[in-house]
Amino acid sequence: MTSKKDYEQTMSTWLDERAQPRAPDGLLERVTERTASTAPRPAWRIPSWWFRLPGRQSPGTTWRLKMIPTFSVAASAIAVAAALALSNSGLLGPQEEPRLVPAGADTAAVTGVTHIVGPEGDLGTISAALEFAQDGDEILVQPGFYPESLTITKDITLRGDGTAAHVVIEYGPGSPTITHPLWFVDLPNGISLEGSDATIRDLTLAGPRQSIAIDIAGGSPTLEGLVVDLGPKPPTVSDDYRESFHIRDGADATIRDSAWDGLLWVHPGASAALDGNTITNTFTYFEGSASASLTDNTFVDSNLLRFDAGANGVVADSDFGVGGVEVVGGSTVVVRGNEFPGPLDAEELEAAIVVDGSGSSAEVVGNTVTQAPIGIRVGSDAKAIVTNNTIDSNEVGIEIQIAAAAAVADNQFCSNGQHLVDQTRAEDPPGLEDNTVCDAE
Amino acid sequence: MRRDLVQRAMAHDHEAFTELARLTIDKLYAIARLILRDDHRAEDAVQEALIACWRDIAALRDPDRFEAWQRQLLVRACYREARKDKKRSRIELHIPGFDRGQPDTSTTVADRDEIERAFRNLARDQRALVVLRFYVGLSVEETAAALGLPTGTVKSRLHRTAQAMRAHLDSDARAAGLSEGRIA
Repeated sequence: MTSKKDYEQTMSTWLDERAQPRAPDGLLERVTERTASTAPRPAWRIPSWWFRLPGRQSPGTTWRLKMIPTFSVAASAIAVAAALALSNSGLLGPQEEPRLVPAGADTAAVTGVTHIVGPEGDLGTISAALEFAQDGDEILVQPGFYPESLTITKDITLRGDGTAAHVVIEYGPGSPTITHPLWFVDLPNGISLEGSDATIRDLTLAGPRQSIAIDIAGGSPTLEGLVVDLGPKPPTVSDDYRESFHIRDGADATIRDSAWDGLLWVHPGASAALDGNTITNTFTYFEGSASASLTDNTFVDSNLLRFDAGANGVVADSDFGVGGVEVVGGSTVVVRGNEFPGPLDAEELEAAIVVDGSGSSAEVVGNTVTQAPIGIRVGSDAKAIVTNNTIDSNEVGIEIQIAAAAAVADNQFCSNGQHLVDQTRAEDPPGLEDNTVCDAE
Repeated sequence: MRRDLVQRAMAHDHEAFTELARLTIDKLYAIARLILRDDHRAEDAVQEALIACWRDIAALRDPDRFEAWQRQLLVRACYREARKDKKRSRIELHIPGFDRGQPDTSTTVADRDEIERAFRNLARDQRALVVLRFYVGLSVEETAAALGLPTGTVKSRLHRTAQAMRAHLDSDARAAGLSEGRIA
């Protein structure tokens, strides 16, 4: 085999030859023009009063008090009051914590008649029942196989008579299509909810692997006990057009006790509450001003939950398996009480929890993070409050990159290659002093 | 001089920032182009990195870390651009080719093609690693800072990347030998 020295020399020479020595004409001018019209942000620091919030102090915190030599009782009182007010106002985290929907809450509002669909029912197809139904009606679907796609514009309840496995709606390539805004292809759609507050429960929706199973445009529907089956994940990413839920146009969807394995994408201005679901081997994406509440979900196999471009939300009490969470692009998220048992899928993810990029912020509280190359990363220009987590057996427990701002307190570190890597060179760097290190010498 | 420029830029002096951009843009573009293998994407990445740099420069506490921070922003911008490419490649079903660079002075055409193929086969992260280490000439520690990775991870990835590249180069050499009737 080529020697290491030869290889390094060859690469160096080849890259030098390949490199373009000059940037293209006009690039600097474009940068100058764009930066001239971009307002720089003021520096953000974890305010020192934060460390005096109730429960923040521990025996190792005296060094922090040295940061403010003029600290006085009066100033302390004012600072704590302001801190509490600010904390309660949510300015440290999301502007508004999205609602959490308790599992099992009854959202079905059947006030009208029940239409029975099936071999022994009033109607042979669900589509026909949707024609007849009025707001407040229920459509009860008997066990069977229903080859159709549905458009729901009314506030009805569509319910399988039994478990999801017994009532199967299957749509095919000939179903109405939606042009996918990310992939730019026309994909068949199984159920389209348009401005509807419908409840859909106890059904299986099966479709081709290149399709959008449920498109939700506006409205506040509730989906419960569903199985979305778009077939196995294709071997190559270029064949993977499986989207289970497409939530857009200001929709406010609740999805609980369901299972799926294709993309869930919440668009800017829409919101979703995901509770008690099983999400397998896919990508869950909240974009723009989308807001999210995720509680008690189980992520199976490789998964990435991403908040991007100013999204906000709460991720709580979920089991991420080998997957992780990314808070990027100016998003604001509370990550609380989750399990990240790993070993992290290192092909897709470098850290179990990532808070990265300008304007991104997160409160990372009470999680257990193990067996990751990096447990928690606070990337450049992001800010995070990291408290009460158990960070165990990672290559690096917490990494704080250049120009990031992070408060790290009350965590337990065990058996990490490095517990805390700080690249900020800040005057007041976060340290391990306020934390418990179980294997400290 | 340069530290002074950074300090002035940190105080939101746009003229100073423009001068910093002028001093660094060629190198940034060269790095981005090698990582992304696409001229237009490289331009976009450099623009985004410099705009992010201007927007958040006040957050930089240590002016001496400016270059390291700027490289980090660039690598991140390249990754974002690469992700866009990944999405687009789903419909284009191919990755755009990489234009030929400067004339060769030390390697044969066959060598260049082999290296090109091996380099093309590297993952995005591996390309960034190779470019920072062997083109920019960063130390392992500096490369780790730019990529936001622990030093140990960078070492192990460098090792794996080198193995992959060398294996690819060797397999190309063997294939060439076989096609010429020789047993490798």
